[in-house]
Amino acid sequence: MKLKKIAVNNFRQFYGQQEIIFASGEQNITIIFGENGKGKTGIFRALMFGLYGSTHIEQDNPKEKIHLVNFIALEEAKNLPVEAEVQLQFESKGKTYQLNRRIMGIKTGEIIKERMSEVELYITDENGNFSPDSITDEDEIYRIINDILHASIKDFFLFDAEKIETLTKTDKSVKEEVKNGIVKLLHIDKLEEAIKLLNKLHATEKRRLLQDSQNLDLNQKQNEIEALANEITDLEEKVSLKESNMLACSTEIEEIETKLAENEDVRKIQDKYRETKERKTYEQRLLKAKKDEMKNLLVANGPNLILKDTYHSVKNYLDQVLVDQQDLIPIEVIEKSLNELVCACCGTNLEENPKHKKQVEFLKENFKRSNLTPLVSLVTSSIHDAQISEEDQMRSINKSLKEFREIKNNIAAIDRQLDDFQADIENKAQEQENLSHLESTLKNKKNELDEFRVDISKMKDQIIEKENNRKAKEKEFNRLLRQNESLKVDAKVLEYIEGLKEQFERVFVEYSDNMRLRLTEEATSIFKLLIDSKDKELISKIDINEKYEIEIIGWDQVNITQDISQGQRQVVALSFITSLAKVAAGDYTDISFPLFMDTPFGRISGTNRDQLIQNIPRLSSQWILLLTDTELSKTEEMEFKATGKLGKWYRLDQIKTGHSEIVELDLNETIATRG
Amino acid sequence: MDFLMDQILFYTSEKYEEVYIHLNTKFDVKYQDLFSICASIGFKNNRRSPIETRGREFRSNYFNTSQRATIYSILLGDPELGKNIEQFDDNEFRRQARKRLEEYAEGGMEILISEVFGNRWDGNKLDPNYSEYEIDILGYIYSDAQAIPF
Repeated sequence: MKLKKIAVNNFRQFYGQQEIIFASGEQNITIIFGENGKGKTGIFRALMFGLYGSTHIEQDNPKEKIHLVNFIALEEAKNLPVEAEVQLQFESKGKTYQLNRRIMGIKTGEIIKERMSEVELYITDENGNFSPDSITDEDEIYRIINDILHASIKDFFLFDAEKIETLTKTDKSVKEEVKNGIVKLLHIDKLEEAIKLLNKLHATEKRRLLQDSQNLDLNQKQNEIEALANEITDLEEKVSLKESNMLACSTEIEEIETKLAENEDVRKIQDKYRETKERKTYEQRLLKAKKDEMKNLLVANGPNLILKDTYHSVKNYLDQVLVDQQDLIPIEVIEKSLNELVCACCGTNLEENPKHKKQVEFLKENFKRSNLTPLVSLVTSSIHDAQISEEDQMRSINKSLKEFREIKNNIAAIDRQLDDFQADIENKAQEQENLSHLESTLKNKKNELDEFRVDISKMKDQIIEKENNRKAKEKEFNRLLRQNESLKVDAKVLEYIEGLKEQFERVFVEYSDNMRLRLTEEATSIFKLLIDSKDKELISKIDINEKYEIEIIGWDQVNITQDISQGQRQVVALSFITSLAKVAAGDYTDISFPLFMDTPFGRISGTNRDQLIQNIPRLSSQWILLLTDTELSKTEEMEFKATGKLGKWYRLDQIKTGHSEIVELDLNETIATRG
Repeated sequence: MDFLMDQILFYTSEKYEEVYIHLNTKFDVKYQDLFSICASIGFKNNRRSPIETRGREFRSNYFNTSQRATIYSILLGDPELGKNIEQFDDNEFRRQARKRLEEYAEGGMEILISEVFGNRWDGNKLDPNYSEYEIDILGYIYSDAQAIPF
């Protein structure tokens, strides 16, 4: 799909007739630049309205009325109706489509009423034949547009600022967004609904059963289960709140540090501090890897080392048992010898030595498989392995213990250095009044951040504990239910619903697991392309885990989701949505749909922005950007121009409230207002 | 004969359940792993303690080959049960064996608590803020294996 042109007439703040022509082909970037409040999102709305007739976009509260007809035009018309229109021109698979959608508005007193008016679709086929008869049937148009870009996946290509912002958070909403994406991609929303329905049914049936039975034990158990469930929800909410507080706190810390960095002396120490902190992170990960290694040593070799003296006597005993067995020579060896008439052990020709042949035949006749042999072999071979590797094991444990202590000492030394730097920064800041305040706030914020971390981890442990407790109680409840003769039928019904639900859930997990893996792969490869090269090696993978959380995995497979900066987080979010778009677009090398992004750069740092600017145009056939002044400074403008991919350049000028003008600029003109 | 391959239920004691859970969730040391270590320590030090109340259960088929060899060696090395592998088939022996192993594991855990965990065990649970239990256990086993028996 290729967007060619959008024309608006009296739509939102675009008073009168105005248009945007979208860039495509080699120069596939279109930038629409506008400071906040000048109508960037209005363009996005126009697109959504044009394509699907949507009056609301994702960031809107669906209960709130959104007015689409221009206020000034309504005012001027004085009690007469005004028609707002969006004309959209796009291509798909060789055909050209012209879609015109209108909405009628009227203002009486202070009240504005709006009503959808007619819609027309004109199609020019592959050979350039224009059909003068328009399609006006809403359902037919809906079907055609959905064939081109299905409404359920449109959000993967056309996303607003809100969505990018949501994905950069660490709370529940991300999970929902990710899960939602997977459900939409797989079209398994019906399955999800079925599971929800069964959950509801299960709850109702259970309630009914409890009411009917009046069984005190069961009721009490159920109360306990519900109390625990409430406690868990409560804790989850608290965790989510703490997590968003934590994120806000990290952002504040980043901001204060940036302000402090404006002082040259402080900035120098900050640089050293940061370098040392990176060294600490590195050492901490080494420590973690060493711990894992030592845990494996403990589990694999611990019991063998404890029992090494016992093993001697046990092995002697078992060797004797084996000697006493009837099956010292395996039957396979005996049979092979007789078949080939050559002893498989010593090579003696049995044909020439009838005596030996007789002996082998005797062995075969008297062969009796002892059921002890496999077990004896298992134990003796395990003991044998343990004994021959005992010295190595001791050496490697000794080495690991030493290395572990060394790493710990290194970390302690680094901590001392960090404290010194911190004190230096404090001293420098104290020298200047304005910085001293910042410094003390920074200190408090850092303490707060640590407290948040501890609290969250504690609460998460509590959740796991309560969850286990709840499961145990559920089990207990089911046991009590089964014991109760009079409730046998009800128990069966509940069991049936539960079984059904489990099966549906299994199917859901199976489908979504594949999609998760695919998205993980795509998001990681896009991320590697988009992230600044210095961070490329630090992050090995963007993982979408079983709970549909986006996790960032470091070079050493450690989860570092909580440790990355806001800017990096935003690149992760962009990589994820771009990966959704890529998967939704099907098996093409690039995304053959336009990527429409509203205010995507927010907190992304300079170098990372440059990476995005250079690489996104290569991922997608068209990149349409709505950018605000803080996102498009002179540096970004230069970067955009340097790509040679910039095709169209628009600025939104606000003439007065309720009237914005779309102004096309020459590609050589300067647009950025900030340095 | 290899009766641990059957799904025999082993129990940890309720008293030390928290240790098993903590090491499992925070250190990825599974119940069967810690049980094997404790049973070995208990056996080596000839310390058996009866389980008062049963705690977590796990199935014997979770033991890997090496752990099964360890457990069988304990049984064959036990002075009272005697070196008689033939009786592994006997149900009464299996029952006794399971009980004996649980007692050794309990005894081994008591040793770990006094020799390794020390003050970090408050009588109910381990200090959740401490992060090197697995290192300390490994260190204990290492120095114990180094000590020359007299």
